[in-house]
Amino acid sequence: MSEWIARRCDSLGVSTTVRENLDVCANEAVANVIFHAADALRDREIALVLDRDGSDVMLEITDDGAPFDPLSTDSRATATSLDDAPVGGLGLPLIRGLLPRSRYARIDARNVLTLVSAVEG
Amino acid sequence: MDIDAQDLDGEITLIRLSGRMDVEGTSRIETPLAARAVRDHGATIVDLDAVDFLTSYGIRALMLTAKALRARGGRMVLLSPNALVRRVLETAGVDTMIPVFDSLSEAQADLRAG
Repeated sequence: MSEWIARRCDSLGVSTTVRENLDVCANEAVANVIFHAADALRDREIALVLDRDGSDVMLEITDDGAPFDPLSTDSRATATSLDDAPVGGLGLPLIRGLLPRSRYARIDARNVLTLVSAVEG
Repeated sequence: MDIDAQDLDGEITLIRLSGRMDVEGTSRIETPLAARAVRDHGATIVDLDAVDFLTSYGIRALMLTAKALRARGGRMVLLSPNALVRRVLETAGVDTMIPVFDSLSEAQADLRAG
C-alpha cells in the first residue's frame, strides 16, 4: 500500500511531507478496519482511490464493514505523564492531528473515509 | 525491522532500531526491544535515526517499553527521529512523556541527571 501511495503521489505532484502524512494515516485507517472493527472477523473489502482535486490531494478509503466514523470518536485525553498514559488508541487521533480536513460519510452501506490535504505542505 | 543493542559506559544501554515501525515491522522487534530494555533495569536510549516510518503500533511498542522500564526504576529517552517520525511523535503527544533528543551527548546528559 505504501509503495502504491508513493507512486501515485509522485505522479500527482504531491510533496514528500504530504505523501508521508497520507501514508501514516492510510496505515492507521486500514489497520483500524482490519483489527478493530465490530465485525473484524468477517471478510471485508477495502478499496483505496488517490487523486488530485485542484490544489488538494484526496485519498478515499472505502470499506463494506459495520458503520463506523473514525473521525467522531472521542479525542483521547492528553496524558502528560508516562504513568497515566494509555499505550494504545493513538491511531485515530493521529489521523485527526495530521490531516484535520479529513471527512467521513456512510454511502451505499459502505464507510467512506476521505483523507484530505493540500498537495504542498 | 532490525534491532541492535550495546552498553555505552556500563550505565546506559543504547538500542538502535531500523526499518519501518508499522504493524509488520514492529511485530518483529517489540519483544526483543522490551526484553533488552528491561534486562539491566537501567537508563536506555532508543536510537530512531534509521527508522523511516512510524505508526501508532510502533508508538505502542515504545510506550510499553518505557512503562516497563519505569516500573523497574529505569528510564528511557528517544534519539534522532527523522522529520516524519518526529511529527508523528509530537502529534500523538509522545514527546511530552518520553523525552526526545537530537544528539547522543544530550540524551546521555539527561539520563545521567536522572
